[in-house]
Amino acid sequence: MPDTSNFTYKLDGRLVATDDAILSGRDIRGNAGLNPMSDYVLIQIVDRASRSIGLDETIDLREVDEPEFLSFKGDRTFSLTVNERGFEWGAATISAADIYRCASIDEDLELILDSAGDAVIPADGEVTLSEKGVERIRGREAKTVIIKVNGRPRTVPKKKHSYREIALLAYPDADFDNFKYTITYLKGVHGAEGDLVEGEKIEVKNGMVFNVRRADKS
Amino acid sequence: MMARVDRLTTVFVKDIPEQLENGVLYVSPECHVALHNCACGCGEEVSTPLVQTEYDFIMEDEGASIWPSIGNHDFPCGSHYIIKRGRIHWAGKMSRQQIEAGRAYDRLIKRGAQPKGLEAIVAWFKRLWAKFIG
Ligand SMILES: [Zn+2]
Repeated sequence: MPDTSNFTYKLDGRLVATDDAILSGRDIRGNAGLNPMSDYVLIQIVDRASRSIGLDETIDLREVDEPEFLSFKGDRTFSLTVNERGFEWGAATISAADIYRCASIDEDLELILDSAGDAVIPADGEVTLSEKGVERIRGREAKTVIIKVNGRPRTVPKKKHSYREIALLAYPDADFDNFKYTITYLKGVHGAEGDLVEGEKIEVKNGMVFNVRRADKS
Repeated sequence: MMARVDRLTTVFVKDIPEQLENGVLYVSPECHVALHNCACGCGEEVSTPLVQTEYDFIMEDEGASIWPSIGNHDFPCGSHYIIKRGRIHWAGKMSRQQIEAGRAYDRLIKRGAQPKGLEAIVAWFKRLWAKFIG
């Protein structure tokens, strides 16, 4: 006997199993106990874009790879574009984390808001959407990255950094003639980890960890 | 002049604060590092990276232990101590020769370099460790 639940989809991050290949917006809301149904906006994430699903719209689960939906309490939808692809959203704000995830944007890119003169959207920030205009967002190669130096966040240019540059981030008054600085790093590009010594340079990425020790280990 | 402390209270944090309080050992598991102000009260910040080639960290009910010892030979105070179960165990100042041996050992475990007298250094370290543990 085959499994009775032949199809699955994700709603608000949870996996839902169903026997039906074809579901309406009404069915998906009903399965989730969203009541009254018209008080909820249902959004489907589709290939780096998203669209709202009305009550009578149908979805053939056989035609979608890993179907994913989000529900929002409310009756309004908001429009935006991310890298030129249309998004519909069920809330007046969308977090940068949701944009990265739904639009499959590489975490090393930074998000830019066109309407705000190319302002950078912080990775832990959000964008306020309006019912009238369409916010345009895109990802671009970041000019800076945030690294951790001795456990403290430091924003630095996205370039190769030398032993001395990293030591100076930890100890702005570093004295290379008289003291020794031992630098270890973790979570680098392609998971790089090791130690950085005088004369060496290293590529940095968001979330990379550097620890600089001034005292001698004895 | 700040007073010297004989205990460190351990605080686990995501990010290490920019200003440290004396008598507190800040530990960021995410960043694999612990920081504290030198226990002598001189105000110098001590960073102990918690990675294989640097320091070991153990948390017990009584407090945190960090191994090996903290040797602030580059600070004016020259403090040297062990943090064991949240307590500061003061050790003697090290001689220049001992400091250089420590540095050579440090280079060895990091880069696999082969300085002269390697076995002597390792033996010296084993004796030192045994003395502190005992
Ligand atoms: Zn001191």
